[in-house]
Amino acid sequence: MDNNQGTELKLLDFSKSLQIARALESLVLRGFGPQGLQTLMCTSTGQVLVTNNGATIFNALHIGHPAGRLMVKAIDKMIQYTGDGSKTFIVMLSEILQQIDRKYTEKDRGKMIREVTHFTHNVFPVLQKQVLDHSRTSSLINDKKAFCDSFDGVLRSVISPHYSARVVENLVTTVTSSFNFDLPSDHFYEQVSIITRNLSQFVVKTVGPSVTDSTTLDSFIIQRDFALHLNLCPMEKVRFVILMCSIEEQVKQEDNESIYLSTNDSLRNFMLYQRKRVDKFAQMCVEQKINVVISSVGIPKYCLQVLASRNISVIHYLEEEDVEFLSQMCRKHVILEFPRVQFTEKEIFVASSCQRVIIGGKPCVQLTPCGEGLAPYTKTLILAAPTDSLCGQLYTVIHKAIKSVYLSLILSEGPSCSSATIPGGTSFELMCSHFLTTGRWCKSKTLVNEGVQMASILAGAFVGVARILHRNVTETTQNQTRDFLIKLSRVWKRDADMNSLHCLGFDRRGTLRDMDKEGVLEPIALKFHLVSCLMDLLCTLLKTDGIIGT
Amino acid sequence: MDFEWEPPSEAEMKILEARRERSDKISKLMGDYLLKGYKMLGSVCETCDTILLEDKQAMKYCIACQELDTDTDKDDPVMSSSAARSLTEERQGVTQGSRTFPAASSTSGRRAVPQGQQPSPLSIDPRLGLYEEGAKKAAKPASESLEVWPNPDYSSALDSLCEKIRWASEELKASSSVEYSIQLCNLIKASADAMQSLKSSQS
Repeated sequence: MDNNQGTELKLLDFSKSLQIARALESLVLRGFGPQGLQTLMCTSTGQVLVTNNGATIFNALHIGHPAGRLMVKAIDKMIQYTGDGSKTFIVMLSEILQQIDRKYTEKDRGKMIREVTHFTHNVFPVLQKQVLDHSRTSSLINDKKAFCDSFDGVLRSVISPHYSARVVENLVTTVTSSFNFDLPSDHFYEQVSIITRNLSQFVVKTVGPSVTDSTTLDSFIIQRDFALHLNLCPMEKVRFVILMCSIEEQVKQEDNESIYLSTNDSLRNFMLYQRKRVDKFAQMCVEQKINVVISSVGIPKYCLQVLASRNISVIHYLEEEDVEFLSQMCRKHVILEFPRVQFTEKEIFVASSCQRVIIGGKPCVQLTPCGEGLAPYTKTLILAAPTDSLCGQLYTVIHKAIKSVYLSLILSEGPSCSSATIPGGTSFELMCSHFLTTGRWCKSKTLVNEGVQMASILAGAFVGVARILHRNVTETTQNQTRDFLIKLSRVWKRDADMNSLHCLGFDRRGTLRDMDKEGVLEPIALKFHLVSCLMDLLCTLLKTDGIIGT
Repeated sequence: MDFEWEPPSEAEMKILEARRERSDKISKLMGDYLLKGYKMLGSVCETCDTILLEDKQAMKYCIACQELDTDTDKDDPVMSSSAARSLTEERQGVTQGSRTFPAASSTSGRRAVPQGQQPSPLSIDPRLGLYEEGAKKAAKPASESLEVWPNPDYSSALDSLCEKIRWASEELKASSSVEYSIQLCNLIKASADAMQSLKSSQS
């Protein structure tokens, strides 16, 4: 089959963009919602992947079409910030493009771009304000129980599509227990921020019989399956230093110093010098009561013996990320060069305990840093799953959930940490669709006609999301569409009667409920960011009428 | 101009709806192929303007041309002689059955065949007669051939193709249906391609 290739410009009309969006949507449609199904696929390396994480599925595809890559990249960028929402994004994009393809022609591009811009700048802020007025906000200081419930609710809504109800509750309890809610507001916010950015340092993945075996462990875990030279008995009041340089002097390659070590005398002198350096280092440790040395580089055997003779334990070949993390957490400095006379106070770390533990059959070190100025963190999360790949998937889900929780937090002046959430089960989508359809945003607008069409399109997209969730959670019946429309009219009628936007959504069985009371919550910031990214992508697609691609 | 715009007629709406359904089918199939490891390319098919896929052997694949259209082609009596034959046999079986079965009484509430009238085969579907004619022509041995070929099989195949093209051309002149005309054009194109293949393989 002949086709044009190379640098020839090709038309990107609405139908092409729609076809791509529908193709991507078809991959994740059945995985949407708490009863979502998994997708089985092969990666390019031949690995079999079983997942319903939208971003994972999209990134595993081979997409050479520029518009398709643009969509996947937009989803990727959004996920880096929000952690969740890839399926909702593609469903809404597909619905919007479908409506544009039906109602408009290529000549209306300019008009649509103006509509999108107007919506983003004028209508969306009004919608945000309306949703915020009806959202749930709870403060850590003033209403700790409600705050903790919100915290749990957000975790639950992210984890529930991936595991059964019993496993979800177990995971929510485990993850929540790894946070310290007794900290002051600013420290709590910092704690969540640190854990979100460095989750890999706070998590130990281990193979276990079941996901419900996941638990927490006090302190920081240094994961090592070799290169541990610790005293067998646990140590208390540990003082340690972290080296990112070698104790020995390195042979300088540029001076060809190795040539000068060719004679026995020069080699002997060099080795004596090295031994002196190690003895000096050990003496420094003894004088300043350092009993553990942690190093990112390897320490030779004879150095280990010298240090062991002075009762100094060594952990070497530590990963640089762990080293940097410890340094950041303890707010101390690592040692970058040697020799010196003595260690400064800023270079000496303090820990309340240090002991060897076995996790998942691998020897690790449990280290509990203490002291003033320590960053707020508490526990390490031990994630267990029957296989390595399931462990990896569990880690991805937990990471998504913690990112969502972080997004739900607001640190305001005071300082005061609060949680801003909205009920799940497409309550946000139903609320917004009603708001946009009834045109309540028009009251405060200057021109009535502007933004009407985009508002109508977006309202349809929101309804589309709710319809797909309803289809996935209800049993397949002939009257499913009719059933959905009846429920939709009930929601809107209730909103009209109460003259407010109340939050009803679909539970696991497709019944309309107040999802706030069900404890299924979503961060508002995630929803707003999703809509914002969607509008940006839509604008880019509308402004593109030609592509050059292979 | 807005004043000149008219809403689409019912027929045009049906065509638009059919196109959308076709596009949805293509998207669904495209998703399945992407999961299997196919690559979505930035180029489109010259025939139907669908986005092309590429398999792991770097062979390009058009879902619309190679799946959707061939799926309908094999059952379309215009494109497939075997489908035409089976439809003709089916119709003949129906007419024989209607002749032997007694007419239903009017008191039973069923639709009764008026006495003295036999159901005309052509009244069932006016195109069935054309399909039957096409099937007969496809099965008819060639009485003349355009060129003398050393291989009698090739000669027979070529004659059949010529007959088919001739018949399709005549049908095209008489046809007023867009869809039927498109199918006839596809038939003519397929037949011409087949003739070309025969000539090139013989040479």
